[in-house]
Amino acid sequence: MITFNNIVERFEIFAQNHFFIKTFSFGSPDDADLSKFTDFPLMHLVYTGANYDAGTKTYNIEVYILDVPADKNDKVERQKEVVSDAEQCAEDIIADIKNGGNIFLFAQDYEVVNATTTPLEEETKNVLSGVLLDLSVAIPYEWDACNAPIDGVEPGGTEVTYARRGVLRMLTIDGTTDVQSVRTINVTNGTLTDDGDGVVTLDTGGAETLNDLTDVDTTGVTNGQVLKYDNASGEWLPGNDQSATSLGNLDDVSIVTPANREALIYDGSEWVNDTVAKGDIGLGNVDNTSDADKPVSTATQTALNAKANTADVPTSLNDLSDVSIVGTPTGNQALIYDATANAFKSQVSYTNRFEDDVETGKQGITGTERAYSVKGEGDGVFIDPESDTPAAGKVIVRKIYHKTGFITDADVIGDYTLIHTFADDTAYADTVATFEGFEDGATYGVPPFTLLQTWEEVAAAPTFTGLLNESYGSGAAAAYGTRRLNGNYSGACMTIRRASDGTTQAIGFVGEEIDESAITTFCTGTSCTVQVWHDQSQTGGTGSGNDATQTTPANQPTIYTGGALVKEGGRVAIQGTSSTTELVASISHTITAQSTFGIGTYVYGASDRFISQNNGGNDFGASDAYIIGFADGTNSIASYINSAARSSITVSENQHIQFTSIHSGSSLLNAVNGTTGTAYAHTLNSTFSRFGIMGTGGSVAQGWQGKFQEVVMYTSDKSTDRTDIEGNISAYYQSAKLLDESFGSGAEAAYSTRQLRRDQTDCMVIRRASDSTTTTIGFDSNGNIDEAAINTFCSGTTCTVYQWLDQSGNGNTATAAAQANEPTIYTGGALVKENGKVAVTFDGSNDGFPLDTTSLDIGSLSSFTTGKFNATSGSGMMLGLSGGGSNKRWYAPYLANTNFNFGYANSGTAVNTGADTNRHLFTMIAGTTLNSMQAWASSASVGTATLTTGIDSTKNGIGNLNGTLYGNCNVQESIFYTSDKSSVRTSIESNVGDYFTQNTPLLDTYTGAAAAYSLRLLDSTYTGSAIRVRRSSDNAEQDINFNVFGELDTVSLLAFAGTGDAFVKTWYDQSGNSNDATQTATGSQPKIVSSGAVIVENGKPAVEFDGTDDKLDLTGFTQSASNYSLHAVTKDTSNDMFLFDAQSGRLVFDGRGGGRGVYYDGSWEGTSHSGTSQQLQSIYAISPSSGQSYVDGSQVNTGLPYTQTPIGGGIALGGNYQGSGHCIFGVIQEFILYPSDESANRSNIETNIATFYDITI
Amino acid sequence: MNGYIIVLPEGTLTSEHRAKAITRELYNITAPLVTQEPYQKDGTVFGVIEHPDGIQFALQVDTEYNIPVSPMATLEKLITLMLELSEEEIRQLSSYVLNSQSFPFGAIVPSTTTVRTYEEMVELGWFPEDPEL
Repeated sequence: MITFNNIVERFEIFAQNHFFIKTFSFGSPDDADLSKFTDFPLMHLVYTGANYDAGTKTYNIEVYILDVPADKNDKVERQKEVVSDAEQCAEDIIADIKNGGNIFLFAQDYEVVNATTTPLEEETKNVLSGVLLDLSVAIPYEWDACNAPIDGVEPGGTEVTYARRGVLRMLTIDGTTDVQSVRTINVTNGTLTDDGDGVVTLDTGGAETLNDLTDVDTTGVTNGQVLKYDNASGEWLPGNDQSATSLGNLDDVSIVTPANREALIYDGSEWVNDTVAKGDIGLGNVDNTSDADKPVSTATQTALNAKANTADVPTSLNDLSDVSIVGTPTGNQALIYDATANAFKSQVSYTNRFEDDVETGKQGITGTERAYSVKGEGDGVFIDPESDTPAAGKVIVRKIYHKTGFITDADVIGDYTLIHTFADDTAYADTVATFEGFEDGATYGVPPFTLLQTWEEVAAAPTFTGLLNESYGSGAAAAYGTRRLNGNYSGACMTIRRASDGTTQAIGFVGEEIDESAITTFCTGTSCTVQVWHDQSQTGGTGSGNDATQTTPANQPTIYTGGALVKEGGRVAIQGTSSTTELVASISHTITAQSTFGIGTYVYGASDRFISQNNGGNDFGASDAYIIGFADGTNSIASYINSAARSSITVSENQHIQFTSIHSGSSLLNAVNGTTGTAYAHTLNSTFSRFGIMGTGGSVAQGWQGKFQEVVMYTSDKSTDRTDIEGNISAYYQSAKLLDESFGSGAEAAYSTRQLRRDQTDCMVIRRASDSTTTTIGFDSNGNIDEAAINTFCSGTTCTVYQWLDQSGNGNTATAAAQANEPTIYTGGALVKENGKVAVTFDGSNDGFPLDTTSLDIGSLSSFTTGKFNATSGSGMMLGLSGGGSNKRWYAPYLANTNFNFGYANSGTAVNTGADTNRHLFTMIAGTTLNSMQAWASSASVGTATLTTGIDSTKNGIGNLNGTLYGNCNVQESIFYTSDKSSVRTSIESNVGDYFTQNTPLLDTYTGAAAAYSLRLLDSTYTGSAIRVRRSSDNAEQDINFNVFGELDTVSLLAFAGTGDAFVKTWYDQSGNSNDATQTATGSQPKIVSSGAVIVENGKPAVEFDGTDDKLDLTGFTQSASNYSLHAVTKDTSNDMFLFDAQSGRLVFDGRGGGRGVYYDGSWEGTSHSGTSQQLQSIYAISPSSGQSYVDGSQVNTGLPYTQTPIGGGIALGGNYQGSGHCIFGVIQEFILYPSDESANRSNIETNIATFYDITI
Repeated sequence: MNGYIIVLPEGTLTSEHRAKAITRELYNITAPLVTQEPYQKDGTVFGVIEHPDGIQFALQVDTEYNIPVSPMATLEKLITLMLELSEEEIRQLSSYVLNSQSFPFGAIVPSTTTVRTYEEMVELGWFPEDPEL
């Protein structure tokens, strides 16, 4: 062990040998006194103690390296020199210990553990300067002290039983010590030699060459050989095979300089090279005979010998020995066997062969003018042509019939088959060739057969084809309409009476329509009623049928009043005005089946008769009573049979209804607008003498007080023709376009991407960019702009609108000033569309149509424009009819500075509202009805302005204003009237909204929902509000409805919410089950408006839940054990949030995420939905094992178990019924729950939803 | 923060009456009685839940919920209901009503009142059903 003495000794030797140190001393610091030493610098060593650790002992030493005091005059410089030199000396000590080799021998295992230097400067006189080196030096130590001088311990006693631990310095190239301490060095197959001074030599004892190894013998090895293991000798020996580079190197191959085309052949012991003989490969019998010289087989030759030579084969009949063709054959010749000649000979004519008279008396079938029977030996033709000149109103019809066999006296026409009908009035002479064609060709089989040509005279087809002339509509017992129903009826439509003088006038038809002009002429300045409604069911003139009459003027329905014809759906109607109104026809009939078709408007009057029949008394008293249609309550119409209302159907007030009542004889079935009621089993056998239209026709006054347009009655079962007849009636009376309707009529100009009038055929003229050609685009059968035509014309290029045609009939065509000003309708391979309907897009730069508005006056003007602005910033006009400094503004509207400004008169911002990029119907109306100008956005009022008059006719346009203020907008329709349309505004807006609504309300098609919440209209019959909201500022509440497009009325919502927030208190159930979802605690109400802006998701309004306690309660919701189908549009950013939670029966539908599943019915089922974006979720809980779920149309789960259980108790939408823990953190836009399996309808339901919310599925 | 405040009975007021009165008075801060429409006569800010024992009631609160303040709001009744409020807290609440357009509910929760979590309420037996959920 290295002792402290060894340490001091080493330091003293160091001091003696170091050029800088002059004196060395050891002791306490006080011993280093200036007065004690004369030679400086001085190294003074102070021992401060040692530390003991496992394997090492650390000596702690203070080394003072000091020099004499500084010169008084240069004290600072001197001290700097001394400190610097002393510190270098200290570092020499550290280096020598650390690196070893000089004074502190490396073999003595010193190790520097810690070293610090501290400068020592003179602070007072006679104090040394220099450096204090605090040094810790470790040495190996294994608790192996010398034999302790302890009593009982023998000096030089027991040898230590373990090896002394040393310090092995393993230095890398950069001197870093890798191993601090080594306890044992194991040397395998080698030797470790102690070379003294701690130096050892490690001899691994390994071999220097392979051959030195005991299991390797490289004797005789040559270049390129490898070592192979030889099992026999147990050694690795040189070998050749593994290094072979040619076949010849292989042991079993012997090659002697090979020649071209030689092969390797095995000779029994090895492979040798040699040429191949044909016998070697089994072809010893092969020779080189050419193909041409090869012989055929005997069998082949025998077969060939049996064949005829080509030249000997006949090519025509005449080549045959028993055929004799005379001359050149002509058409219809035949081969006949000539026994004399013993050959078949050609004959002149097959026809002529049999051209003899038919036997007398065998052409007696009525109407036969020609007969022809073909016998084997020949019979002939009977010819007795009838007249070619038809009688008046008749046409001549000739037909050809056929039968197999001969004509006989007993034949009737039914024995024959009609094979040809000539066109009406075809002359006999013109039928001959056709008839003989059938003779000659023997088209209908081999003789014997018979042909007949008949002649008959029938009534000529009417020049007009009405309902009664259609096969499905024929056979009516009575028919009354405000249109022409029968082309064979030549009488008047009705006889009307004018109030002013009591005179009457028969009114006929103009084309299909009643002569409106004649009525107007006759009735102008007074009113007119209907005295006789003429029956059109018969062939003949006025009075030929069962006319319906009312001789008492006060009881006659009105047809003209207030200076206008009574109309419905753009067609003339008659109006019931009191309970005594009715028209009665004397029709006596006993019916065992009856079908009646009527159309009019429903206005409730208790038990008022739409159509009835009786025997002169009351129409319900007899046991066989059959009131065809009557008002059965405020919202239904039914038939009265067997003392009660039957097959009742729900209708609404003022609804235009087409009512059908068909009694098959055993069952009654009614229908309204094609929708049937419940069939009622009943045997019909009734006799009536009077037929009442709009009344009983009897003694009871129950006049219909709605409108009436047509009734057609059949005394037969028309069930199979019902839809055809209904379709015919509907096509005429219920096909009105907006401008056909009375409320929509009178437009000054009307531009649209839909058909606005029945008679309008053209919509616009478009131009394609590729060749600048234009084409006119019309409408499809549904009244839409003809999209297919546009797609065809514009495919591969872009199309713009050159002219937007005016559908008002006033010819106010909107024409772009130049091609550059034309808005776009087709681009990027697709039509421009807005909410699913075609739109015209104006670029906001220079697109626009100028308009001629000479006849307009802003004091009496109404405009309806449907479209959207594509940005809320900037400025531009969608419809501007005047402007500049004229003080005659009509901006409808003008986008400016994020506002929709409805400019009027002298103000560009007469009324305004915040702008958005939603599609709106912008309405502006000014006139004396309102006595102001008022504006609406999607039916929500924006404000009013003071009425004024006049207009600047030179500054106007669609998509711009007089060549300025171009709007960046999409426009679908713009209609304006030179009148105040405020009284019919909602009707016009409803018509616009119905058409431009994106898709059919979902529940119209897929009925039966238990609860349905949405921010769009889900059921067209739903008339309630969408939501009830509370605004944050004062907790005031208001219901928010749907706008004309069936979407949330955001204009009204924002007007109510102001700049604050608004929350949903109630989300109304549209299912009809009144399962409204409500939250009365304001702190738990989800949000719909945030800081004055509607919360939207993917452009559509959304209800936002805060993820903490927001939820809505379905108080009172219960459902018996059922399957469930849930469809919801949501966005949820947290896991395990409940879309729906029912306390009783514990049914939970999970919104997304987590590891629970998609629904809980006692246990969680399926894999949770994932994703934090807007999703269309469809979840089906179908027992027993058909549960499934989908996200955006993609299946996530299938085959899930489900157990049906009644549910009730606390029910929550958007959270845990208990109020917290699982509340949705996100939005819900739509939630529809069916208590049924709707998985078969999933695709269609999802398409409906995805179309509206613009979700890709 | 979402949580629950168990409302203790006080004087003649049961837990239920007091809880419902507090949430009602909180509502009245935004819409004072003199301004209320008929549909607002039952308005509350927070829901009230009932312990299965039928005796205890608690408010289901959101401490971050912002209560708008009507200029006509009065506090007397609320203060009499919230006896836990210290003088300093009453002064703070009055300050909100006088000087602010709105304040978060958490700002007026008495310092001595504990807002409990759903899990704590479950442990206390408020929601005994379906602990799995």
